[in-house]
Amino acid sequence: MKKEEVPQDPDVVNAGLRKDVYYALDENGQFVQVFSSGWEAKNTVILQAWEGIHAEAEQALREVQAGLKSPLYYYMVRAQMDVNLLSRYTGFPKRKVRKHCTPAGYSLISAKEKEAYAKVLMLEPDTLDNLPDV
Amino acid sequence: MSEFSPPPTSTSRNASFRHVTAAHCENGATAALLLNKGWDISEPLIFGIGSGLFFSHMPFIRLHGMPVTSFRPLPGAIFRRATHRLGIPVHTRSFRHVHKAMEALDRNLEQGIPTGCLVGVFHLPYFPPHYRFHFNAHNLVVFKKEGPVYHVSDPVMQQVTQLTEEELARVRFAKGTAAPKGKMYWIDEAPATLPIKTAILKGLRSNMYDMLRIPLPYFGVKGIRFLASRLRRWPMRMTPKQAALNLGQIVRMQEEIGTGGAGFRYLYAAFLSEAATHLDTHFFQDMALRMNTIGDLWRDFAVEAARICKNRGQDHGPAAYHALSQRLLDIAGEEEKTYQTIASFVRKLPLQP
Repeated sequence: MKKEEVPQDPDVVNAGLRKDVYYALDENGQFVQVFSSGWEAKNTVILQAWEGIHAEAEQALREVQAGLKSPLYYYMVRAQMDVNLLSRYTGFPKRKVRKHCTPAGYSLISAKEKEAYAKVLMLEPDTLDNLPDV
Repeated sequence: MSEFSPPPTSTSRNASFRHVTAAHCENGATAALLLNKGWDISEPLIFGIGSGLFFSHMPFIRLHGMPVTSFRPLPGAIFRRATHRLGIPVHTRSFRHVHKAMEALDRNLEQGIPTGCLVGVFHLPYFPPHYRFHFNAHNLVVFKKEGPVYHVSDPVMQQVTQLTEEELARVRFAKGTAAPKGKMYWIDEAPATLPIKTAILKGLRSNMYDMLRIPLPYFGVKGIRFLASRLRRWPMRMTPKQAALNLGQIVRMQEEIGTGGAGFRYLYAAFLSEAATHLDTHFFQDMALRMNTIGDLWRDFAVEAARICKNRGQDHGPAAYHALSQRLLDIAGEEEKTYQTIASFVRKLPLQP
């Protein structure tokens, strides 16, 4: 790729916080670092991945609304976590996390456990009781 | 042993840290640690000496239910090999307990030693939100602590940043696949001379082995052909949406962050071009230009794949995947020819000049 071929497409995923670095040929045949604001192909695949994450969160939301799962489950999925990962972060056994993901199991949660979940998910403990207002 | 760049200047305790902007975090962190010991070694050079070029497609390992495709060796490999081949002694530590990990880091910073840390990106506050996945193999350098604030030089950012103690502890102890476990690494003392030519040759030799001769179908050029044959059958085996997600995953690994474009192929081209200067032979400059062309082929592949990914793969059938598969086979052919040429040239060069 030549220096002037480095894509300078609209910045969708870098949010103005950084630029992509490419190594490209300059006019003297040397490779130099070139900054890029973004590239359309890259934007497409990253947005595609996020579409998948949002779809999973929406599915979780519907399950909570149907009374099959506790709101904790929704917050977990929204943070791209599963029972395994949330169990590692909190140090609770997977069996316990799975239990807390059901409405019945969640009603037995202790204040301390709630705090541990809240800390990992970076929320206020009481937020976990309800779904967010959308 | 050949001399290279001026001997290290003594870095005083309060010397200001020099930030390195890089395409890839691990090269960048290594380059930054070396630069602050007085050795100005570029990112591509570290990448090449550390044999960073790779390809693997392993359908038996799944990530989010999709086969793992990777353009890089295991995290930590580039740092380990590059410093080893340059004869630089390094320290590496991992921890079980957060407070011990933070204490050890603080002790290093008190002595003015910039320290590389392995972190997860999901909780990294200065990262653009779109990059925040549970990915645990990011590298950054912590170089100063002021009160509760850690000053951080992250190679994929253009400026230095700050993290609070809580934030840094959280990312150092991210959980999940390949949890970093507070891993940190640093360089105490850099030697007065570096065997740069020998290191380049060693890096080239082992990298050509990785790309051409690993006796399994999942790695190197064989891995690219393997992916080509699997990818062709995706539209028959999966829903259009799933097939498109699998495709998107490959392009993300190739381009997302820290590859310098085209799955590190441009970075390797830059390395070959620098090798031409150090080894004083025009051969490597020619190879650099070929590598550059291979990078362009990968980018064409990405453009074509992204076109299929749009609209959830609804608009494209088996023919589109067939064409992509053919592109991969062409790339594999080009890469094989190039690496064989390099391998047979390097074999003739003596390791000790």
